[in-house]
Amino acid sequence: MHPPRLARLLLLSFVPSERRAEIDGDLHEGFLVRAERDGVRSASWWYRRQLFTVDVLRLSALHASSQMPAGPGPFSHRQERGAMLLHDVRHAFRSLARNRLYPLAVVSILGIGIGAVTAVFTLVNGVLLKPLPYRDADRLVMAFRTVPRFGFTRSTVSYPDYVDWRQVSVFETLAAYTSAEGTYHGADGAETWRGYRVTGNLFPMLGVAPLVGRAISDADAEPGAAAVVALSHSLWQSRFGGRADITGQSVRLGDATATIIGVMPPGFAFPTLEADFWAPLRVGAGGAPRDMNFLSVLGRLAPGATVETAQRELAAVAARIDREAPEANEGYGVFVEARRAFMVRDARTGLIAFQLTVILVLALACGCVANLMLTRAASRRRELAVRTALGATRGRLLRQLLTESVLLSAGGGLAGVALAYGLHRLVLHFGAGQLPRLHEISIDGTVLLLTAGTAIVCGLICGLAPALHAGSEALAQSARGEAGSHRGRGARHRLQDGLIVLQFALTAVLLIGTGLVGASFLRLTAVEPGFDPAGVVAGRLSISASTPDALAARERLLTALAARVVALPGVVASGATYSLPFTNFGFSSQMLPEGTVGDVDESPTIQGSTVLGDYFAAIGVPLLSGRNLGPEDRSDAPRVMIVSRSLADRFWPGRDPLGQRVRDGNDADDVATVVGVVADVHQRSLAEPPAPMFYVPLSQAPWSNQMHLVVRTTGDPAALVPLIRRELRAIDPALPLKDVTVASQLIERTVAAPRFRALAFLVLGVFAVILALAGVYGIVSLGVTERRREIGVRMALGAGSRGVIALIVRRGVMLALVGVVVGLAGAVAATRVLASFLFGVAPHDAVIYLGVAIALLFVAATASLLPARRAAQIDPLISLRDA
Amino acid sequence: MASPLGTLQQLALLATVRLGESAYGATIQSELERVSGRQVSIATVYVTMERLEAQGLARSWLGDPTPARGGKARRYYAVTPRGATALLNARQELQRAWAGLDTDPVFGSR
Repeated sequence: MHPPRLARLLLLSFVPSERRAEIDGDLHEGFLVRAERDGVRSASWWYRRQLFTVDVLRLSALHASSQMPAGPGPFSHRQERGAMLLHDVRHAFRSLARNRLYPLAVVSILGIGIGAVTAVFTLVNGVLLKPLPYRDADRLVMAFRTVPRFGFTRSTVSYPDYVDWRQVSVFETLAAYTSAEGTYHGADGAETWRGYRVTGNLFPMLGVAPLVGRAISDADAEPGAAAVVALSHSLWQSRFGGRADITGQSVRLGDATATIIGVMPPGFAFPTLEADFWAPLRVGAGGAPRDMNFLSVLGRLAPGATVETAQRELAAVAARIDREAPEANEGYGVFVEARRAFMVRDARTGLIAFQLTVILVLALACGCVANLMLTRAASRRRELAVRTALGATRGRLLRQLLTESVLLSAGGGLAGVALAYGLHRLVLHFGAGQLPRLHEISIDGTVLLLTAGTAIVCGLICGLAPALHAGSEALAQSARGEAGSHRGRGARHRLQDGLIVLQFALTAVLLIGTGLVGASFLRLTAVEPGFDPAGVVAGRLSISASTPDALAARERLLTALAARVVALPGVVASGATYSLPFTNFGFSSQMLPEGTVGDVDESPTIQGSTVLGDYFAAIGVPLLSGRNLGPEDRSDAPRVMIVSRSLADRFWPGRDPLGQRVRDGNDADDVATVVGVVADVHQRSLAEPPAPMFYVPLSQAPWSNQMHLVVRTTGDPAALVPLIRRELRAIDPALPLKDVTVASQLIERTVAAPRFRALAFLVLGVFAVILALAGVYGIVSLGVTERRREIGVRMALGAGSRGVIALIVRRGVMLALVGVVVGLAGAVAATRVLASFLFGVAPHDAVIYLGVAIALLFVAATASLLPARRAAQIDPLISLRDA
Repeated sequence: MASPLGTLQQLALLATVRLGESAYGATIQSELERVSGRQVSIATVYVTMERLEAQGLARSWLGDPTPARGGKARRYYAVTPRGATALLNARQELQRAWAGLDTDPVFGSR
């Protein structure tokens, strides 16, 4: 167990040597105490925080100043070094202040690069790296059931399974939870709260203390205990105005009344931030059946146990359960995964790809800045030569130039942090629902430390080549006079050319990424969803019914609601469905066209939905042939269905599907007749092709206890919502309308991430192109200035202005060409990272590669043209005389 | 007399007195955090203690290296007689200032 190495190194480097040993020891001791008490992660954070205080600097100042007067005459070596550093900094400031444009350009270019890296690292740190905010969070693991024959890798488990799993000794604690909904009847109608039923050991295991009262405990889960509920902080604020006497209040949730026992602290997000309440998980005296899989299982590993040992031991238990109760699972496995890895599994690849992309951009920015610095060093040849002649050593000059570049990059770092703060706010605003752990993300000590490190490294990288180079050139000049500088100039040219090539190569990679991601986004949004979302609003109604009377009542209620809603002004159609497109509601059934011979087990699984009323007109799916389902299709009438066009083509290719009969894969007597055909719909996302679908009337599929009311209006669909709620209250005041969404938002949600990727790439790509333009312009301009004499001679010897322009432009374009070729090759390898985010475009799309190559050559030609025209206007007489 | 003691200086001196023979960087840091209820960095502790030392209110000496601290020695602190006087003065000053006041003029009558 050791303190974080980097933080220790940094701290000790700041601390004056007179106190280094004892402070090192104190921190070591403090770390051990906290690691023992709060865990290693928490202790490491504490350790890092020690660095972020002005007093670290004050302490060194205290020692530096207290020693000054004590020195016996001449300064000590250390003090001399300090004085020189101060002098270098002052000198750098002065020399930078002389030319405003140069420091401004360097600071903003580095600022954008560092800012982008910082902003993305903030996400990577907050989402992927930071420990979860629970006690011993690195020992928290999820345990799932797997069912290989269905391809289930992370399935919930049954209560008997959970009880058996608790016996496994690798878990110090094993808790379980399941989602629950509660209908709250407040003053202004019914509303739905989303919550979780949890085992009593869950909250003690997480180790998060409630803000008010107490959390769910083991006693609450005992059979016969009083019904209790703990609230989330946001629900407490929004629904109860944060009143202090909240505990002991009783609240009606659905049919039951529960006593509020506590409120969790703000930001407590188990298992998600959206949780409104937590109630004890209780299983009736008879227990729950082994094939009813409804529990998510979370455990804390015993000290020393790993995910692998847990996986192994749990698998042994699962194998035993499978032997003893084979009918429940038929092939049963387990999968143990760290809680954090489970939470961030979807975000991981995207974030890493994004981080690599912005690092590429930063490399680009550094290349551009190094080039600027080389150019500046060239223009300061004379100054450096004079200083060398006056006795400055090479090391001294080098240090001075490096001071300048580190100072600039520190400015870039500050600008970058400011930019990152701005971007961070944007991410918080637009990232809701797109990233896990979003509320935990912040620009904290780790991020700032990395930013500071990045800025310093950038300063050294950008400054080192120019400084080394300028140092040697200055020496050569002072030794041999002006003529000796040609060798140095050649070396600089090679370096600058190399940087331009590098810049174009990186820009090409980035632009190809932009092209691929942008094309994917355009192709995705061009996909027709198969329904018409404009003017459509939907909301979910949960009505479970089991008796024939209740089933009839439910159908009457929904039919009456649809009829009342259609009478509202502007409404053109209204109906209901189980599987609203772009939601997770759906079911599937094995079925076959009647008369097919073959193994029933291999009959295809088809996606299905139940519908009621004018659903197809409301969602905007055209009926291609046949009739709609209607009131005549009663539960006792012959069974009917509507099929999608792709299902018709699959079952009856080239034949009229109307009147055809379909049988259930498992029940030969369950036969339905096709009465209509509708167009295909993208049921899950735009990226997936529309699946073949069948639709049956609600009356003939009574198990649909979740129905989405779908309403189409000619006006504003959002404005219709209160009117719909009013109609619902008039029929059944106790029934809430849940998940109310405007249909265009359903689609919007699924394209938000691709849009964000396209936008981010576009911004970075534009930045890269601007840098490429500036880079070529700068180097070609410098070339023209340095070659005035040569150009003058050429013109005196009869070269036309066209020839001169061609000469100059050719250099810029040649450099770009080499860079682009290297970049295209790099892109072939690099774009593989993007492959999983592309839609409708291959990672090696030739058109995009070619387009980027042509565009970049055009950029290089344009940027060279301006200095080239200046060269063409050179008067040979003047240039020869001046030179 | 030396300049009046700041709050942090008073707290640090009191922590040193309270800790007695085990007053050194890490323990003073914990004690300050406990009393003030805030995070106090180790650098703050040393800046404060060294200023006190410079004013002659505290003194320090190095102990023997201990293996539990990665083999590093502790710098122990103790309050000098002058420091003790300054602490008492500070307390009396406050007590005089509070004498005869009840809390109403401070918090307003409710």
